[in-house]
Amino acid sequence: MLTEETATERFSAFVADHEARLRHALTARFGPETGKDAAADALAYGWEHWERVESMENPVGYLYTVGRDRGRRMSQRRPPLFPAVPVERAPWVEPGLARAVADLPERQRTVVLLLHGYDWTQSEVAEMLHISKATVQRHGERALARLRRKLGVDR
Amino acid sequence: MTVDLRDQLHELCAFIDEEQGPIALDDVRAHNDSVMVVAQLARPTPSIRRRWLVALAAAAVVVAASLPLLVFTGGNDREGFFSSSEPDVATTPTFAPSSSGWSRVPYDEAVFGGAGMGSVTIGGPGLVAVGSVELEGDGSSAVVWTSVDGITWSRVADDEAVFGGPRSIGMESVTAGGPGLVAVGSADPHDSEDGLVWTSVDGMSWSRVPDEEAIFGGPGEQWIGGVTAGGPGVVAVGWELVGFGADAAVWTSVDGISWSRVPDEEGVFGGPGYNGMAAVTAGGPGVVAVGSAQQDGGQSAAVWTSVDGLIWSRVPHDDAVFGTAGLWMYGVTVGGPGLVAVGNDGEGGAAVWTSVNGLTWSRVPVDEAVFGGAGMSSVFVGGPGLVAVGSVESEESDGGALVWTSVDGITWSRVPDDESVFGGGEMSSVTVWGRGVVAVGGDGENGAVWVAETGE
Repeated sequence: MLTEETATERFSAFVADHEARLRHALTARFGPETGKDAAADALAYGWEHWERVESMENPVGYLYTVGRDRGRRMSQRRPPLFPAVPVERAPWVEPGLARAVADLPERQRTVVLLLHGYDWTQSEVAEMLHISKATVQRHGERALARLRRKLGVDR
Repeated sequence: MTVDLRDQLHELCAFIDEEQGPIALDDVRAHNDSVMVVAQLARPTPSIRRRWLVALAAAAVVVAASLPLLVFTGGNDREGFFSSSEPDVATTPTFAPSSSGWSRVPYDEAVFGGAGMGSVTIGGPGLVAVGSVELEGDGSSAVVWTSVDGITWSRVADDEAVFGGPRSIGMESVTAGGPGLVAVGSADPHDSEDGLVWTSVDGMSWSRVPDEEAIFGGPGEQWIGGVTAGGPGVVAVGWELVGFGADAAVWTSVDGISWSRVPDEEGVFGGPGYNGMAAVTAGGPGVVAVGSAQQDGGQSAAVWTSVDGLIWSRVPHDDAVFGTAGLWMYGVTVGGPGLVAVGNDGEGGAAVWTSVNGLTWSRVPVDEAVFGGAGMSSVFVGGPGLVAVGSVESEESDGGALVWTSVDGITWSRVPDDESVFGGGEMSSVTVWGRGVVAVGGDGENGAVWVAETGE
């Protein structure tokens, strides 16, 4: 019983520490709705296999791959939906930003949102997506250039 | 006045975060039953995966045995497509090219699964490619592939002590040099990334150069992305991230095994903002490296040169040539009028630069039909003169590999798109060997190889 409680506590601590990170990564990839569902599924899988998952060196990275596979099935490769930021909240946000983000290629969207939307470092993005920092840099720059062109902004 | 796009993205994600709310622990537990089924679908058990691999291997044998022997040039061409020596035609695996002249090597899960191929060079048994492969939940591992003909590829057996490491590790570039071959990349320990170097005599058996903190490490994060034979023997380039900026960085070696780091000269390698080298080649005055550097107006393409690989100068910035709109040079080769560099123009298009001597550069005029909606990653001399590769960046497409060719480095043509060959792909490196062109890259999930005949 003590072991079970301890495992529960450890999993609770893991969720507290990493839930946002996992949800952000999957939201950047699949959009807020599918992303959150995929993150919830991945965490549930993590709980079901907690003994094995917690022994891994990078459990959140592993659960990202679980969530990614789940997200793919849920989205069926449909483009993601991102909500527009209400004008009354931030009138300076371009009204077409959400749509332009949704239209980005999947990898560019994931990288640019993690880098500039959620303030991850290049190393953190590279590690989560299993790509090099050079690739992160490249996708990030290309995504910004594409968004600027599409929105007609110069900054 | 427009607010910086990055601030707008930050606001969008803050809004999403508030609307979304965190996933509660109770929701996770309630989710559990339904997820058990999903999880089994998402990640096959080892035994199922093994059965798949066995089945795939068996299928591959059957398919290979039943395939008609088609050679690109067709008919009775007894000369091997890629071999520079007389090939064994009876065992040369071949397949028909598409109308573009390019073909994608058939996918093999055991060889390309979960991998990204970053660089290819002539060496070892014929060709050697390097990259990284995704591990099951534990980051990535460096990986090497070899091929005798450009079409059939094998993955060098994994050796944790050589290719593995803490969390993410990968090879970025490989060159013939040192004891035979030298590959570079980086490892990502828990709090600081270090550059890494591997060597091989034959491409099949590899050793990792010991990670000396004073050379490949330091307080920041070191990344080595390009390597070439040149200077005192071998020269590797990359950058070091410190705080909110980065300085370009150079490492040299006489034999590929013992390395030194070229001292960081602020006026050459550093400065405010982000400065980094992405590729290097022997040429011009001795050695030429390309990348990007921060200018007052923004990020610009940048070139560094050295006579001996040890003392470096940066080619003076010229707005008209190197721009300030977020330009990067990703590849450089000897060819055309002297040297040719490729990259992106910071505005969603590919860009090409040429130089006679490495010290003064010109930018090839923008041609939207050729360079628009694309990015170039690598360039190599051969075929009609030069071959560059990259990927689609247009609004209308969700990606795809791209190839350009040029006779002189100044006038370029884009190989017609062919969805069945290039769709969903991204080429990261190209080389020319014998009568063939080989490009490597991936599709975002798995490694991929494309081949074409040069017609030479």
